[in-house]
Amino acid sequence: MSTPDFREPIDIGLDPGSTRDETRRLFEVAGTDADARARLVEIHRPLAESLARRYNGYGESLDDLVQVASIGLLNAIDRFDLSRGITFAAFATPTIVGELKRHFRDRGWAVRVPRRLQENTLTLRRTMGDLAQSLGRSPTVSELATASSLSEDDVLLAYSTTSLDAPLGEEVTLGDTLADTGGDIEVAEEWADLAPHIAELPARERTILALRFFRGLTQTEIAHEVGLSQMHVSRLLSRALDTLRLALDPEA
Amino acid sequence: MADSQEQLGDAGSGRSVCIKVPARPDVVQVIRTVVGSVASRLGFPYDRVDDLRLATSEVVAHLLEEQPPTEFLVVRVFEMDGGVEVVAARTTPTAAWPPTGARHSLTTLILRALSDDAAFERSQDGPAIRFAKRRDPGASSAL
Repeated sequence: MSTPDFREPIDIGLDPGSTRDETRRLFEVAGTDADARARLVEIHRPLAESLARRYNGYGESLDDLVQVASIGLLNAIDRFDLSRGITFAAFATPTIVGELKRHFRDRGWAVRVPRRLQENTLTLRRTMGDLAQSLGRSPTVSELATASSLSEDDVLLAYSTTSLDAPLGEEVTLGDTLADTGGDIEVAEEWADLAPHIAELPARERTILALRFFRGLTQTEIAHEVGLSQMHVSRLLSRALDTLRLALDPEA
Repeated sequence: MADSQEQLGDAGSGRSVCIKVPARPDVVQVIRTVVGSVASRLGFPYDRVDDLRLATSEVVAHLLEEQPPTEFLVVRVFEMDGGVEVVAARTTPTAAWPPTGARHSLTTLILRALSDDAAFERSQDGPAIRFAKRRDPGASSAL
């Protein structure tokens, strides 16, 4: 079995009812052609609907959620740049999910992060970087609590909040460069059936995934290698795995 | 990773946590928190705690996606000698277990990377995924 090349995008059929060529052709004229834009909406509506279903059961009707997801889809269509070389589905998914999360936030149904927790999170982020450097390894919760003058419960709470839901505030400019490291990696044969989905991930997530799962680097080691915080690496890994799950089971 | 009912180790101190939760996507965070909390109390380094949390997310997502839908998930977290072991189970049986296909591959490969031992098995609660992780990388233990 040949080794998949993660740098080459592979069509995995996330553009239902259309070929990639059709999608590309439509995007080339969507800025001035209302029919083309409408057709793009029609083609990708199943993606918006499947993402909306993930948020069903939280007090909003599915119809309303689909409407919100459709707004995200329209925004994604308007902002999509063909020259970036990624598929529309990969680009649109975070945009649509962001619109859904914003909807719940605006309606006041999401748990708001108290100011004290935000401050603890900032403290924790600084402390974690300093400690990891001085210790040469990932600190324990106990060590973090001592160094940051927080209780262990506060450390866990701050970490959970940041790791799961915080937006990616750090703008990273390494993306295209990092993609090159993926080519050096020996890909296990068992990953072959997942390779097309991995190829669809953004370059940065693909690289971090490869460093963790193929090279066996720890999150702390990856953080050093790519110049991000361990928390950021954790978020990107989590997001990449979520994307893979969705690709394998859009109904999930 | 083995698709077997092989036991992964002895339950060390014997301390454990067991939770039974409705099978809904939003319980993933609850289960992650429980597993992460147990590991943190045992002195796991931070990134190994996070490995456990990522593994937990994958296992729970997988159990939720299997058909037919399950009513509950039962998660048991055991404190082991030098590590922690998690057994997450569906209360509703599946037609085939362990599963096959790409979804199975993803879970297998994630657990292989993020845990020190793992297995699909049939537990006392139902179809289950078991995984274990040592506190210290490279340390030998009962796991």
